[in-house]
Parts: sequence; C-alpha cells; structure tokens
Amino acid sequence: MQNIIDINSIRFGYAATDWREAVNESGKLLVAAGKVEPQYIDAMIEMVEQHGAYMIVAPGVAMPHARAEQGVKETGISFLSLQEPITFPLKEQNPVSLLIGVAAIDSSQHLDAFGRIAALIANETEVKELITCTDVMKIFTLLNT
Amino acid sequence: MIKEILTISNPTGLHARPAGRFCEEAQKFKSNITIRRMDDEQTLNGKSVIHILTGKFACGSKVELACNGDDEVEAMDTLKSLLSTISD
Repeated sequence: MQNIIDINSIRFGYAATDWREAVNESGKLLVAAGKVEPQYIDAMIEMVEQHGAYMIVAPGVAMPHARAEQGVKETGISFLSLQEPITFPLKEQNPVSLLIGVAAIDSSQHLDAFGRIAALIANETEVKELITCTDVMKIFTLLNT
Repeated sequence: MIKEILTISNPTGLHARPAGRFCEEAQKFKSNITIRRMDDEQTLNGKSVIHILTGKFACGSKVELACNGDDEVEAMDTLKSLLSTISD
C-alpha cells in the first residue's frame, strides 16, 4: 500500500501568526510531497472562509482540505505542529496546535484518510503526544501504519 | 431507547462536513446518540465528530442510529431527516 504521508510533509513547531499562515503551510507540505497542485492551498483556505472551521475535529486539531477537483494529484496527508496555537474564525474557544492537511483523490479515499487520522486523535493524551513530538520517523511510521 | 436502521445517502458519505453537521444537531438533544455500521459491533458516539469519522460511513452504508433519553423521539426524527437529506 502506498504511504499516505511523505517525509517531506512533516514539520514541527511552525511559527504561524494566524490561521491562514498555518493552513498555507499545511498545504505547502502537501505540494512538497507532490500530492497536490499549488492552487489546492488557496482552495483549502477558501474552504474555511466559505464553510467555517468545521474541520476542527478534536480539541487542538484541525484537518484542512479541499475537494479532489481543486488540485489533488494523489491521496496524501501532511503533519504540521505549531509553536503557538492559532484560532479559526468563530472558533476562538478551540485553539489549534496541530494541522493535518488532507488531499484525497476520491470520496472513498477521503473517508479512509479521515478515518485513519480520527482513530489516532480520538483521545487527548494521544493528541498531546502528537503536538509535542519532534521525531519525524515516529510520525512517518505512525501515520503510515 | 429507540433504534432505526438507515442508509447513508450522501454521495460522498459522512466525511468531515456532513459529520460535523450531524454532530452539531445531535448535541442539541439531551439523549445519548449512537451510530453503528451494521457490519460492525462498535457503537460510536453520535455527538463526537472524531468518533463518527472513525466509522468511515460511505454512501450506501447501512447504519443503526440509536437515541436514548427524554427527547429520543424528537432526536430520532431530526437526525433521521438530516441523514436522508444531507447532500454535500
């Protein structure tokens, strides 16, 4: 099975000043791994602007994404932890420190990618460990299992 | 408690946005809300987006929705209707 996360898609402790910067970097990590075209990054930001931050799926964790036809080349995810939490519009009570960007080639792989990540972040202890992790190989192995 | 077996009709399944909408509605009720794929024993918390996403509910999946509490009838009506009309 092809790896869902690439080594080039993992970054820790990024200093984002706001949510747009954070989502932008999350998208750039997907571009770096060849999963999406650059325009997918704008689409990820637009998704938040149009539909709000529904993709904050667990305390501290957002999963920004856009639609397949907006520039996905291959299914993949990116892992971006932040130095300081940021907040999304209308969700100021839910600060985010971890962004897992998602690109999926079709709805089946979209559900599969979200399902796999959801299983990893279903409890707060695991989320804390992910947010403070600085071991690339650990994240690479964990997310590709 | 009331339970009903429903089919996920949203063409893209219960991905993040429809799952979020479902949870938002479910949280308005006092009743416990659970959802389970018919081919899986595990019941998932219908008020938690994360739990619902672990279910990977694709279009056409048959699920058992259960509502248990004082407002279970209203909850079932609302959530059943939502699941059959979500198109996202």
